[in-house]
Amino acid sequence: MMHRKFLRVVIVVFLLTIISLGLYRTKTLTDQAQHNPTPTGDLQRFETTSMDVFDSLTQITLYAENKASFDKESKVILEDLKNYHALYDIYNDYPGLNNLKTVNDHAGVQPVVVDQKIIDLLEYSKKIYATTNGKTNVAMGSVLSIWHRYREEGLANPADAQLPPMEELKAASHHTDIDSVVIDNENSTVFLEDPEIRLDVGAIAKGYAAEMVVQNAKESGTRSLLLSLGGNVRVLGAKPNGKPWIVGIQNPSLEDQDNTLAEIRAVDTSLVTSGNYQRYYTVAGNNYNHVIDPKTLMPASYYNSVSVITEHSGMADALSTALFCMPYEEGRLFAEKQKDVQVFWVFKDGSTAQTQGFKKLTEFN
Amino acid sequence: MKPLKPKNKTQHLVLLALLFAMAMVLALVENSLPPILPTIPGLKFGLSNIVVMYTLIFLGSKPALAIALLKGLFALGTRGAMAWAFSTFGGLFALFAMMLILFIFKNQSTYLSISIIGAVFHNLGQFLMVLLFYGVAMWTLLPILILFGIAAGVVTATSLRFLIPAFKHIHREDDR
Amino acid sequence: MYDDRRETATMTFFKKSDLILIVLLVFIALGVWWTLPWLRAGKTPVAEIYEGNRLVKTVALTEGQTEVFHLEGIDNVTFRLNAEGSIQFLVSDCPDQICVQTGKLSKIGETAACLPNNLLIKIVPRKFQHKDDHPDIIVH
Repeated sequence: MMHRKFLRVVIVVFLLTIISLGLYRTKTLTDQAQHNPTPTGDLQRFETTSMDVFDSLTQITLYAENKASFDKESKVILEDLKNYHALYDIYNDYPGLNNLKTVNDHAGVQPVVVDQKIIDLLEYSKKIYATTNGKTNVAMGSVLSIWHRYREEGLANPADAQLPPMEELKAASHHTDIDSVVIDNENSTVFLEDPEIRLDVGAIAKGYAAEMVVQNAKESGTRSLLLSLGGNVRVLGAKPNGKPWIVGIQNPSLEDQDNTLAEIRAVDTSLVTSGNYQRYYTVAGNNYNHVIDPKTLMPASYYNSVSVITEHSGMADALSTALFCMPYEEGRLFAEKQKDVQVFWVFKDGSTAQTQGFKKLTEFN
Repeated sequence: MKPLKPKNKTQHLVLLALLFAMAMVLALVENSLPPILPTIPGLKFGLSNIVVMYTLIFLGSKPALAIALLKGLFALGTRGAMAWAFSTFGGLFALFAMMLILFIFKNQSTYLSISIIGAVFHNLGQFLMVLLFYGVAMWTLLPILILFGIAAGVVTATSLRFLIPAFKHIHREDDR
Repeated sequence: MYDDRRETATMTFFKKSDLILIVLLVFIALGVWWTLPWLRAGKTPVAEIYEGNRLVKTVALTEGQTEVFHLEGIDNVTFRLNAEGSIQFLVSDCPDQICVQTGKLSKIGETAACLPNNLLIKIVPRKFQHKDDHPDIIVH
């Protein structure tokens, strides 16, 4: 009799453990989706797009009370982005504005007084440089501009497309020391000590700007917003009903219909993908993308794409560039050292890999 | 062949435990396979449902019900509530379908037909769950699930073909 | 409870009539497969084509139709609607060719843009009824 009683107790304890474990798992998953309180009132979904900023497609999806308030909110976001774009532009001058091109043009000449937004970006970039061990370096402009020139020429004249000579790239790579970017906080100036050094914030600016713009929107009361700057996705909150945003990742190289590799449930986070499908040119039948590995000075070619999910979209942008330039083993170790960062790799053959916590983000519940 | 009749409670419990262990192993094997649809992690072809069929055939409906429910709890513990719903509903759906066939056709039914009906209804149960949870009928899934059900049923029946003589053997030793 | 074991004890493994069951199930499966396009009709997504911010054309991504077309007044860009229910930039005179390289679009949330020509294709749900399980955006 004692035995049977004991057995019963064991079974009950076992069942309770399983049930509580299950409930716990369910709860943590729903918590992610619902930690933003549902706003009262009926919010409607609105979308708009723009092709005016950051040389990419901007998409805004926003839940607002009515069309008028959506127009107001989205206009503020777009104006904000336009402002960031002008400041971080290295190709164009804007009358009455000191931007990164102004800073570049005064390399080795004199410090340039700039907007706080530029100082903040460059300070963030220096932090990122340390985090990524130099894989994401905004002071690589001299090397990138050579690639940029050859790519533009190659696209304009595909038959005569050339690769930049390695000597030219090597010579430029001697002028990429981020420490010669001198920031003077007191006088709000930036000075490039090395006359040959150039800033190119392409690896980080879109993500950083998206982050800042979304933070601004949050401060002015926006609760549910998805902002995509050419695939740099930043979401604010969940949808008003507590459901997460859904961000799909596709294999860029596959043409077939069902090429969605993963769907992320996103709440207050960002997803940035570095890939080779977007900007490339072809030399002698080979494609050369625009992500240049600082070590080899050549386009990185380990993957079709690398997606990074983390809250700060500037971080996600920078890390995705850095990881795109790392072989998988190295990248995996690097990714696992970062806090609250999930990574999804798509290899050349279409196979994928992911960090431990990534799968959880793809599950319904 | 006579049904397997455990002599006492202990033997009954041991048998049930063994079958449940088998169900868990099959569930783990299935978990390691790539999902049918990456977007619906709970959806499975139901390898572990094979055990429910065995139990129904060897031990009867009550123990089979127990296994189906336990299997669901295992899914709950390892994969969360959604998996529990998929597993339990699929298992119960399959079980009731098989019981119904047995009830209607009695011993005129065959192992093959019962296995197939069980597997197909297991998958239909999951389809209904998808409908319930996601509010969308993934019609593309339905034919695939039915065809896989037929295949799974054939596999189960074939393995029964080899297992039953073995069980018969145990049974004979029991009788002595 | 009704004891099934009495029946299973005297059951056979296989009878010819089982084939009827299998054939029947296969037919049901095929039947569903064949009626799929019909079931899907009316639920297919829609492609919106924008010039800048102006919606200039909507195309239902109905399966089985193929069409190559231009937008009025824009001859330097060609679009194609594909039979499997997708749409793409087929030819464009832009230098970077990003729009063409983006390939076929078929899923809600997908976009392809041609910035030099200020053109955008965007896949949206029919009647603007975005559901919670539709992707909000798809990235490459």
